[in-house]
Amino acid sequence: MSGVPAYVAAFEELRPAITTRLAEVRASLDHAIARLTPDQARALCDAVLHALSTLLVTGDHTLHRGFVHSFVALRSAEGLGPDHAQRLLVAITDVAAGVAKARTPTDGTLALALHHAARLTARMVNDTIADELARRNGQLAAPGGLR
Amino acid sequence: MTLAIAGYGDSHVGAVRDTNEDALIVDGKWGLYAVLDGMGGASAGDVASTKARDVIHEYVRARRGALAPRQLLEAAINAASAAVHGEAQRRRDRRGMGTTVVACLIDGRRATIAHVGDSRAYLLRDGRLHRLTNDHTIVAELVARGAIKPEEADRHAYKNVLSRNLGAKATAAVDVNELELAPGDRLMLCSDGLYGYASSEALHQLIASTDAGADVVRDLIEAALRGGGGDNVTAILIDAGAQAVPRATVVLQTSGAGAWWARRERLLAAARAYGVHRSPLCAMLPPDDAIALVAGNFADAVYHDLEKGTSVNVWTFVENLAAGWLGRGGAWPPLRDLLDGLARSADAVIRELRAEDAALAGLIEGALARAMVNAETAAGGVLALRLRAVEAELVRRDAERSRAQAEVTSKFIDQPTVPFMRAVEAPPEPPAPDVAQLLEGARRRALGRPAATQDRALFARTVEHIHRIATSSSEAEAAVIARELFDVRSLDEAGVTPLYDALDAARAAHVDAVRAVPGAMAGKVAALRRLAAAYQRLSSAITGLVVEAVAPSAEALRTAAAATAELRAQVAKNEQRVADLERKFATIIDDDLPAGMRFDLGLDKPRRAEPPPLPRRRPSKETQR
Repeated sequence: MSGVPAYVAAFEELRPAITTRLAEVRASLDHAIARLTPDQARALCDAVLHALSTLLVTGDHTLHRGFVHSFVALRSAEGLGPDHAQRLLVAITDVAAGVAKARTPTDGTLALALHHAARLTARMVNDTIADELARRNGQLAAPGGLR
Repeated sequence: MTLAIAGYGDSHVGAVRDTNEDALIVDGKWGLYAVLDGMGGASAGDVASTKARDVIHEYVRARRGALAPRQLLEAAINAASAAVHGEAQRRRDRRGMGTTVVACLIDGRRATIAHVGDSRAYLLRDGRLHRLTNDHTIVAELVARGAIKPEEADRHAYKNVLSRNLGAKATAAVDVNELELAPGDRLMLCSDGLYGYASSEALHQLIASTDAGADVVRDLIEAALRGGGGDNVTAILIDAGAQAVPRATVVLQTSGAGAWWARRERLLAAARAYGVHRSPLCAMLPPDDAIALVAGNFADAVYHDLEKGTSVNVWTFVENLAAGWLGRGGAWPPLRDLLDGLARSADAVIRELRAEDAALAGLIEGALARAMVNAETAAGGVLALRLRAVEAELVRRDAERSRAQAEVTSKFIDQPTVPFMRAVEAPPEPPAPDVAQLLEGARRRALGRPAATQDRALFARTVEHIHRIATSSSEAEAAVIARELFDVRSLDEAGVTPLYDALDAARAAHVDAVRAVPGAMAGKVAALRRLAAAYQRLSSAITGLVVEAVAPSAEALRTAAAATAELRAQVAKNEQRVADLERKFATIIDDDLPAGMRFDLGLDKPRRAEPPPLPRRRPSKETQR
């Protein structure tokens, strides 16, 4: 696709290999994902890869922030804290970067782009936690200590 | 082909305790490695662990080859349990002593790992760290049954209470795993004093480093001591063949680290130019000291990480920075800006290096990018910890207030907030005509495709709804549609899963359709963006409804948890009473006397007493325990 960096196409080409690799190492990603069935784990990883793909294609941070919020909220409903969700997102991106490095050892552009995406994602989770922390601190400071 | 196995182990008393109750076996000759963590107080813990260690070691040496590895380890651990149990029965001051064990027996390429208790085994393969054992603790079992959340486990009052150990009974229920080792694999066995005080990221980074095994063991123990060292720390690292270090890593460790170090002053100058010293985190420091302390330590951390092929030093640097700042009540934005300043300073160094050696600059850039990811997760861990502490304080205050009020009209838990649910900003205006045309084409194409979900009707409705949201400029659209789609559903796989399946299938079909319909690239990107935003808004709104629907059950669970806590407190009180009674009426069996004759010896001065009357000759319920 013209106008889109070459690593985007490379990422799409590697998607099946990345998904396979994620299925192989899912037990090492997070204790929560280790308990999921292979199909559930695959669906979860696919959603993250899809969001990464969209981020690489569009470069739209607002859109990615929306995904990150939903992801953290869903994991929160499953009993996982935001830091767990953050580590899971980073671990999935790391595996993708690992596959990229292994398949294209002489061209580090995709792996670098994925590292930047992982940092951006982790930053967005941190912003979200910080927002929540500020709100909770406000509740603590409010007269009566609540709300 | 056999692998060259090399094992390294060490143990440290920790920063708080006086005695080391851990024990270890590192026996390359017999391929036996084990970590044991004793317990029992009054110096009985180290007795249990050393006795079990000796029995396991002797058992394996005596029967290696006679039994298959799996049976051999299981039998050795059971023999150790019988020995510890027997010792505990013989000596009153050692009653209740026991030990955990995680043992690894290597035979050629095959590793057999057996464990009882909460000592753990990890495997590093292809850069990923896998935990091989599940803790035998009450809390781990509660998590496995879904009774408590995984994140509650770390803070649970009974997190250290074992559900299995060696010595409680003459036999132990042993979990055994077997795996085929591959060249470059690294196994790590450890006691809870390691993983309880060093973060999982630090463990991963240190084990994955290219350092020699002995150095890694030293660094692991140091990481636990830096984390507080509240328990004895023991770690064993087993290398299966030499690690195949990628060429790029070797270059980074040598030329990369050297090049970075040579530009340390350049980094400090760049940090000054970016105003790192003006950060509120450095408010109390003169500019030179601030640059030396913050940028200098960052430069050193990056250097050590390049040299070792890890990112643990940058991680630790940021974690300490975040813990210090946020712990004093500091806000996130200044810390975020400081991290950005350091990252920009590092970029300046890389730009300069690129002019001289583009390939090396590329490698360092990659390593730094990964290190900055770790910096964010380190800060995230500290932020989440702060958030949990504040939430716990809010809950505590609310509980106090609820108790104080006779009639509570508005309880904190009656109005649960839904954290982390923020609406994505909607596109302010309707799509441009070409984008609208693309979206319409995509909608038709998506509806014409076979649905990747069983509920075809739900799929079609979802496609239509996503299209409506994507072409609408109303923010309320998603909430209304979510209500309509959610309808009346049970909160289980039959109710909610088809909805999420339909959402996923509709999203995938839509995206594929946009790619397939003819049109300009810019228009497709805009269409994809609108569709992705629509999907996010719809899934967020549906998730909100799910969380809302779950709220009453969550409250019921909280009430049940409170009742359970009260019962546990009662059990603890009763156990204390039993222990007091046992101490008061302590008895032993004298081997010289006929079986069944028990004599009260008192607490301080053993003395023989007359045989008690017949009804009291039978041991009481307390002494039978």
